Amino acid sequence: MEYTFHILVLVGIYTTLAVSLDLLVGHTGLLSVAQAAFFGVGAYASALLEVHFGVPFLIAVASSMALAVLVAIVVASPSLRLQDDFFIIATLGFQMILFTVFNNWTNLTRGPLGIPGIPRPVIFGWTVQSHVEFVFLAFVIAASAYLVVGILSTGPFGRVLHAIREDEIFTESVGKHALKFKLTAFAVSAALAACAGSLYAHYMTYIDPTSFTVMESILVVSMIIIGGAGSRWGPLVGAVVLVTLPEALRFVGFPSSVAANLRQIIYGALLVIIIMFRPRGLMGKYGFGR
Amino acid sequence: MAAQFLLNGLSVGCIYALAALGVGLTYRTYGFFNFAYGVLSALAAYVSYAMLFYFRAPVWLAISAGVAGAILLGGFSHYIVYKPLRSRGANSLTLLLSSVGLFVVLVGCLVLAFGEESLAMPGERVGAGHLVLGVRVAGSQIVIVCSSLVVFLGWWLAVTHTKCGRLLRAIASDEYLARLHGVRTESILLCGILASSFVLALCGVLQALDTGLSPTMGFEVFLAAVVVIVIGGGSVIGNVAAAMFLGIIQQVAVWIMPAQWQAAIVFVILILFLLLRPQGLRGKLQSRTTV
Repeated sequence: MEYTFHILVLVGIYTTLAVSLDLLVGHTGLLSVAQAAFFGVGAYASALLEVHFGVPFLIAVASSMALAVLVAIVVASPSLRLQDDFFIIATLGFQMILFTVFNNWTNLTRGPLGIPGIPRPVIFGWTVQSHVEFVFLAFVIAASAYLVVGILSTGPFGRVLHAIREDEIFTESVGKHALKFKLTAFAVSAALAACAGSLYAHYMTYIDPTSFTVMESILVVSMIIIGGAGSRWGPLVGAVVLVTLPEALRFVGFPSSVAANLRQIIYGALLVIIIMFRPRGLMGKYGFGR
Repeated sequence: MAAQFLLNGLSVGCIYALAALGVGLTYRTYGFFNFAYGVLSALAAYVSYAMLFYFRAPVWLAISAGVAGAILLGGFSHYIVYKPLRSRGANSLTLLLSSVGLFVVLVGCLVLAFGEESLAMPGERVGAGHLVLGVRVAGSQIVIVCSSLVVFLGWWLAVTHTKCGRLLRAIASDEYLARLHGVRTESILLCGILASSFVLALCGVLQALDTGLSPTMGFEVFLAAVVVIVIGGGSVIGNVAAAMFLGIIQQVAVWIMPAQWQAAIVFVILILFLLLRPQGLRGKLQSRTTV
């Protein structure tokens, strides 16, 4: 049972990540490969604040989200000037730079040694301790992320994002400041990813840079594309499929080291197959890149 | 000291330039950055390693096997993925995403076959080298610089003086128009992807001689190649010059700051270029004179 709950917590965390990135990929048409970096910014910021300064959980999460917004503005202002391929490459560059920071700024992050002993979250006197409580917290956060992205993507703001996705120049020609909207979407997306990162750090109680690599960013992108970019349930389905896949492989009898690699091979192949034969994704209505 | 940096920078730059030629050709003709190249070069290196280590093959055979494997896979990916996608009118983002998928699959396969740890190329003595005028020249560096120079020259000649090169440039400048004139674009594109796979494979083998093997070894070189294309503007000479510039800057940076930040330098340069010279980078690259 503990094991099932563990999987559910991971599903919650990755759903939050996927839905936050979908605001960019699915709704705005911006393929960012830096989501794991923001995930890492959130995890490191809240972990360090609590371990070193004893900052309460909620304040730590809020400050990590604020920091992620700051980093997002620094990342997005040059990147958003670029189109399609170059935007992807720019976010990829920032992903690599931030990973190098996590890995090499040893005075702050202890580098590859990681940060152990991150305390359990305490919310208004409620200590989140057991797996069931974490499942609850993870689902609440995932649901809130869904709510935020849902509200942003269906209202007037979302209509402008969709317009930018379809035709940016036209959107500008009717008087919408595209850069402002894209920047806002980027910042919100980064803040949600940082929130997921904080939860991840407090759940694992230990973080190291290997959780925040390019491959992790690509994994989140794959979740969206496989689930269906810009659709309501796409990110959830993608996260569920890709999180449970290695467990299913282990269940079938592959050792866990092989299962991790097999998952990688399978989701890569799935990505290619989905793009070739069902570009809308499993749940989607909008074919990304078409 | 400065001469040493220059030499190290040149040999790293040669590797970047090789990768940039291959990645740049695909970018010009297909219109996307092919992430699968990031692992194609690693694959060539691993095949050569396996030939040397497990089958005790002679060096020339091992290297040819590695290069041949990468070329085969490159052609295969064209037929299985890119060609069908293009015939359905897929845009460059779709092609890029599918190449990311291929990249993920191939890295997974390499890790499964050879493990995640770095390996050293058998027969290469670490630290060995000749002192020439106070500069330590490693044997691998001589091999890298000489073979790269030959490839640069051959590539330039092929692009400017052969029929295939001319047709590739025609496709790069306007594929639709080229097809109207009766160019069989698919077979020419295949030639292009085979040529790209060839230089990427060579790049991987040379890199393995220099720094050893790891499943993700091709990826950072691929990213550096993209930065080179951004800086160099896409022509053969521009790319080679930009690659040397990047290699030397990277070496000089190590002088100033700790070596572990070296990987980040490439991306800092990229970001600086995006900030300071965005006009050259908006949308597609501007000058389409040579592939």
